[in-house]
Amino acid sequence: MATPTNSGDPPAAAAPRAVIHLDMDAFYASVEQRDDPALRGRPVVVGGDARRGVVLAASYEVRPFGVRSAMPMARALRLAPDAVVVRPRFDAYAEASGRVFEILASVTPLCEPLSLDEAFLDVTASRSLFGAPADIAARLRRRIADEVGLPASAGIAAVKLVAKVASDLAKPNGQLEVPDGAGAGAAFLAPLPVSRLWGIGPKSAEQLRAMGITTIGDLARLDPASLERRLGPGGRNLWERACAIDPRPVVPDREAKSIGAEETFEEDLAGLEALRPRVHAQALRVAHRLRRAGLRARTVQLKLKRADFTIVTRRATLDQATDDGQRLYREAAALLAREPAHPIRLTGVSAQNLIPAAPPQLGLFAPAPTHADTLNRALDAIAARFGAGAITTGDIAHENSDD
Amino acid sequence: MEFKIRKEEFLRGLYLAHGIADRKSTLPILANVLLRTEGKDKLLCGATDLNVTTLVTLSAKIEKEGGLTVGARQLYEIVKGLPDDEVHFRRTEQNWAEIRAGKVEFKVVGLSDRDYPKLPAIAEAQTFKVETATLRDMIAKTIFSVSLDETRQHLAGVLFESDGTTARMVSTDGHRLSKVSRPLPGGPKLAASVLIPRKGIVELRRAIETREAPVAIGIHDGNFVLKADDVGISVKLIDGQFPPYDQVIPKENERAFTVSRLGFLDALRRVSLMSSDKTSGVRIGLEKGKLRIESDNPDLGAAREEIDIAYKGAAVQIGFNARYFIDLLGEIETPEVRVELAGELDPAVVRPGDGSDYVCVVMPMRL
Repeated sequence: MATPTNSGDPPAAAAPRAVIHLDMDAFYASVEQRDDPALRGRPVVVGGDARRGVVLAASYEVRPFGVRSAMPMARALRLAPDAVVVRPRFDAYAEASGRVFEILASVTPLCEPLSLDEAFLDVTASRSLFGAPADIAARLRRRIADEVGLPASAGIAAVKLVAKVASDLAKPNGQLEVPDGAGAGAAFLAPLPVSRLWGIGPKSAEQLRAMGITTIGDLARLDPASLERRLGPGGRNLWERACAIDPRPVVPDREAKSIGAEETFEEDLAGLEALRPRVHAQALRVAHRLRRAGLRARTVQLKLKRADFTIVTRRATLDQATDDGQRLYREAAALLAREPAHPIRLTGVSAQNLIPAAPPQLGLFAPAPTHADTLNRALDAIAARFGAGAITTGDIAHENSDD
Repeated sequence: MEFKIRKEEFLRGLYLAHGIADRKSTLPILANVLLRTEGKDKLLCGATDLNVTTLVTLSAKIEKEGGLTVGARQLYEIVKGLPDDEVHFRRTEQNWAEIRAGKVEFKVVGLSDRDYPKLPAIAEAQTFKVETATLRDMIAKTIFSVSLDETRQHLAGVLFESDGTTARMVSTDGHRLSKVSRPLPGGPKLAASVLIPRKGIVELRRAIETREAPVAIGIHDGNFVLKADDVGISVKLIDGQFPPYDQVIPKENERAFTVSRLGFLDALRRVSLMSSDKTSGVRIGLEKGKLRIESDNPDLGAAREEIDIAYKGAAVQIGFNARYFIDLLGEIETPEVRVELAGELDPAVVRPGDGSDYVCVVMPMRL
């Protein structure tokens, strides 16, 4: 699943913040178990065709067998032959997601959605109204359980990065608070394996292990300059994350300076054929979020992380701001085509230079809506009713095809 | 070059020239005013930004013929501050200007007048004498709604039409539009409408701001030309397609009412104190017998004012930029104005109460 990114101005002062990372547990599988009592307590895999599909979600009952999401279906069924395979029902997931986000919004407007089932909340200013952050998280999880009938986990910390790791550890159906205070975040991370850090997949973990680094603490103890020499410009960033340094604010889409989606692949991908559908899907997601936030972008950025961890970003500026996914994709694909054919571990598309789509002042000589506008309105309506994956373009559908 | 000139006379020319001289141009000499003697008793004082040109013929006592250019703003400020009535101007070596008045003496760096671009031949233009007050009134009624967006050339000016008996000016910034028609007997008979850029309109207005006697206007070689005695202004017309303005002026709106112009204007000024600085958004609402203007802003507070009117139609509430109404109401002289509203996304129309041929259209804003 793609990991979206949001960025905004760094906070003016490093006042202690309270960030909650709320993450639904095995979201699609939990919705299926909620709606079909026969599935409760049984190993459930949500996904498509056994030959070519991938696992979209795995219930906690099937995880001890080693089944994980994004794994090829065939492999999952070899690991857990007794698993019940359920076809995805995107409309049900979209509906549940909408209700969850309504509950989150009741606590703070500073809610940054990461996907259908995951969000950051900055509750720093909500404390006076709603109490301690851990109490807020507990209340949110109880309301989600009572009103939507689904389990959720939460991590509470002073920065996003730590909150996200904490919610991972709290799963399933739990919550974990990392106390604020100097060094608390770093101390919490130190004993954990480096693979817990955001952006470190199995390959990076392997590479670090070769350097004698297994825990996040090992990483934090290194000299950032030497890490930079060994891992490239990303090295310092990695070290900062290991030290729980994460100044990124929680930015709702509406106020975001940029809206992006990125994805780290299971295996490095090379060549336009393989990369284009990924970039296309990211562009469509970004455009959908732009439209939901009522924004348009003047700049498109393509981000590539090569197998050697080097990150390249390439931007293109449009003559007219857009919220059309195909337009974003055309620009991103053109940027991609100009890059040398290295093996790539991550691609990301982000929309920047954002302006309101509909200025409040109406015009006398308003241009008629374009074909793209009309089409996008129809696509959004379908996605709202049947879920984000219900309708997409041919190349992406082929990539995820399950028949 | 050397001349003597009365301070007030010199200032009259420099005032018009320094408004046009272009300090931001890539051609440094365009920031200068061009001074050139003519005969024994005339001084030509000119400036251009290559689009707008002014040429004023001043009375002076020429002692030695020649020409020079000097920083327009600088010279204007210098002469304005001089104590004495008579100014003595002399060109010295290396294009320096020496300016003396009484016991004050300035030496200013200039540039040779030979390097100044050739100015349009204003004197040659065929022009037509018209009422200055009418022209001034038409400019005032349209200049405020000209687009300030330089990238939208076709909206960055006032449309001018004239058939020899009637003239019309129209302007729009895309959000609002003003259109005025007035009898202008003796005016030029133009085959097509022309588009006069905003900066040119500003200079034309400046040149006739206090004038009583008629002025002569005409179109010559792609320029709008105005002559008022010894003042000549030439404005290069915009080569662009003005939007089809008649289509966006609603023929008739069902929700019409008449209201005191000053009452409406004051209410808008008061209520907009509580609207955001950026958008000046207010809600204008109609119900039986009442016009209501409201504003609320989560950061500031709220305001509301009601005016009694004779209105019997359906209730409606529409958001508008108060600034747009304040601008146009300031240009109407009649004690009452007639306002027409329609739906939430439809334009408002305002006309003077006396039925004269002036109409302003304002698009709503979403609040």
